[in-house]
Amino acid sequence: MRRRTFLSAATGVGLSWLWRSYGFWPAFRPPATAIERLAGALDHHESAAVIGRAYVQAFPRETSPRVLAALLVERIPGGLGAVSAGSETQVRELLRRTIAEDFSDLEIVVLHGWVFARTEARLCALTALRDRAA
Amino acid sequence: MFADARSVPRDTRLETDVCIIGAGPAGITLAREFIGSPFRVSVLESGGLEYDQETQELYEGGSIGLPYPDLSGPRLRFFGGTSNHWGGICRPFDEADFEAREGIPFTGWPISKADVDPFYVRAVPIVRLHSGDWALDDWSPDHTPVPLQLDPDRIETRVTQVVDERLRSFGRNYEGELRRASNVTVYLHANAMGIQTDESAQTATTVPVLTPEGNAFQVAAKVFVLGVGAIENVRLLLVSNDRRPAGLGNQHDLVGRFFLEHPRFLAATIAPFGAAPNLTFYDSHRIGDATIRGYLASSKSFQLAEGLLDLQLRVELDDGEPPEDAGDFARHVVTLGKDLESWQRLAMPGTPIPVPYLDVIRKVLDSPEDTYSYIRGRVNNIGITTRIEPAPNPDSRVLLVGERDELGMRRVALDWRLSEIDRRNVRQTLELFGAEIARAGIGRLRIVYDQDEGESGWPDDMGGGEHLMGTTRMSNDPKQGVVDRDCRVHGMANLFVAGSSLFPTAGGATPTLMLVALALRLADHLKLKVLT
Amino acid sequence: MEIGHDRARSSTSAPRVGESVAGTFRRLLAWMIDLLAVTALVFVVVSLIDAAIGPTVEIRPDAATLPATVSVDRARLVLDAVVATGLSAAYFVAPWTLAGASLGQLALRIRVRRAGSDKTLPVGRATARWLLLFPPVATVSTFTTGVPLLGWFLWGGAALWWGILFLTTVASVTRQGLHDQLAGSVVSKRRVVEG
Repeated sequence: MRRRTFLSAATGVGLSWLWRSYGFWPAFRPPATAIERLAGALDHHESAAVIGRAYVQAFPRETSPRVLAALLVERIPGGLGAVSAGSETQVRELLRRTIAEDFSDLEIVVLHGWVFARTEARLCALTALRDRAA
Repeated sequence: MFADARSVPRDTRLETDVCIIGAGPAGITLAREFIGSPFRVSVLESGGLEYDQETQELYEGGSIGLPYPDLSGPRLRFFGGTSNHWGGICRPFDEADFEAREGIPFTGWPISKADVDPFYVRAVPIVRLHSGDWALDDWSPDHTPVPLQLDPDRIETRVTQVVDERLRSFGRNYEGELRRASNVTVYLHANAMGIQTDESAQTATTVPVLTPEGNAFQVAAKVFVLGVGAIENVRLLLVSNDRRPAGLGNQHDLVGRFFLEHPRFLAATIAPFGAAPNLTFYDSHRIGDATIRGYLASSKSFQLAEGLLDLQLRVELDDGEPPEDAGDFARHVVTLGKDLESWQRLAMPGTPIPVPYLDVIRKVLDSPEDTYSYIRGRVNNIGITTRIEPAPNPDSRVLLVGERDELGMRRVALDWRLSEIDRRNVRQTLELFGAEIARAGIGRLRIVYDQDEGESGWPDDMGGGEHLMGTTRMSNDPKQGVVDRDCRVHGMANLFVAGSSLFPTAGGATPTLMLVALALRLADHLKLKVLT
Repeated sequence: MEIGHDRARSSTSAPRVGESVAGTFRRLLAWMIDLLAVTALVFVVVSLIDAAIGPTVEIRPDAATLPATVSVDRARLVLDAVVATGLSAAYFVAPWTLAGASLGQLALRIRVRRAGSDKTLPVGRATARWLLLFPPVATVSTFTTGVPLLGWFLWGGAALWWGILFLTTVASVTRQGLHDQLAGSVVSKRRVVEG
């Protein structure tokens, strides 16, 4: 009996893993909050935090993660729905597109002389604030 | 013919039809146009055929405004003039350069590009270029080498042609021709000491000439042309104050004002997102018989929309370390730049052990440094130096000072100024450029020039392009310019000016081709209208 | 369909007299050889396809912008994935059903046979065994977007799955891991021919 239970459990894990890797997982995953999705978009947290801190210093009115997430979501095509429901790859793609648009529309900020798109600067700020809070 | 002013008998009065003062590119171009014509031409050149220190010292002058080298540095005072150390870069002005710009006072030429175009065509062989093509498509039709793929409505790539080094000196190129010309006499070692006029001070009559040894004589002519450059043209007009205390053409205190340069400094660096982009197009390279060199600049449509003037962005692949204070921040910027790039699949799908596609392996083997540098995130900077087209500023000027040179003529000093529009130009254009290269996936721009840097508010490494312009500007209105659209000094019947001192605005191109074209235009005008 | 559900059942899977259970280390070694072989096989075949009908991934270092330096034909990626899957299936299923051992297993003198008999696995079971062993690895490399190479290999899910297989193998007296149990197979040392 013990072995069978173990077998079933292991099979369950294995199968669900397979399931996940074929992308069916989102159907069963609880929707993440927009803030988490956005803050998790960047891999290099340390770098993002450094840039993010510079942004927050330059724009003190945008120091709350909520505010930043709201401002970010405003510019992303599909808005909150797209950010919450999309897969990680999809969110990254949306962010990339938004950033490209920022550059086209000259929605830019200059931090320590570097020219950033507003979206990516805000994304860094969000990462910085979340890391600080964590 | 050539003659030595030192051998002309003292107090001679030489009679001629056209007296051209200065044998630089403007003077020589003008003189050549008269070869074989029924008119007699005398050209007065202060120097000899070779550089001479003593003569050169006559050009000395200080600077009281923005830092600028001694005035004897950018100019050369011997046969061929400043073309003897010319960089050879040529490009005509664009149509927009001639038009008045809304919101920027004192812009606008009294002539249009269409007026100058026929003379550009004639100027091309004179500066020893082979081609009159300037469009990007003419030089990069199948895009090899490839210009940067940026939005041309924002940042455009422009083409310049570079004259072969051995062919840049007008003196060397045209000495023989002028020697053989029977109706043109070039007087070497002849220093014009001013321009004398009749009593009404509206007609120039003679030019007194002095040699360093003290020989003196006079040249009388029907028509006089000043072609000694933007600084010296001013000097001659201002010292000619026998009848008019303020100098000739200076009724409205405009002579010497509106001095223009093309200031340049290291304005920004670019950290490329990956292996540095191919910038061969922006270096001098040969295509057929021609040598061309591209450069980036803000598009005219952007300039007009934002109320700015031209800004050139010259790219230099700089293999050095990023600027020191960039340090950590730069590193973070570079790693961030790679983050959201959805990096393509490089490995075959479905293999248990990741193995790259053959093409990728080849690339790694071909250029391991590139691949390595990407992985390491090493910053290979690209430097961006600017060339600004400054807004015409009446307070930027050349003025007479009390000190006198060896010949007894008063010297001049330069009070070079820039304005807020220029600052705004640099700032806005760099931001646009930064957004554009990020959007195009080339890299990320860092503005390195600090607006508050230096006492002057401009970077300490700011220098001029050694383009001296604007001090006897063209305008139909005597209250806005020193000469009219025919290059005739306002208030004078027979005194003309040639050279870059005519330019009301500096444009986005180098001045030589333009000044040669204008000299040709003046020659035609003199031959067809004035002398007949 | 096996008869009997108590622990004695496992004894019907016990190796026959004269044959012993293959050790885990040996099996791991064989597995690694097989992975290398499959990788090489897929690499050669896909490279040949690339040479024949054009590359899936093309690198153009002189492109003016970074995104343009790498071009990927997504349809070809799918084809390549299908080809790779087919190849690996053929690599394992055919030898298992025909010779009872993959290349690596042959090299290490072990064999896969049907539990409770001396025969090789029938196609169905062989396929099931392959499905349990191989795709978790392959799907990792198929569905991950480009990231430094090490990242793929260490990806948690594959490691987790293999961990389960490994642990269950070690824990079993007959060295039947989860995959063996579900597919009804057992791995033993090759019969030594006497004489």
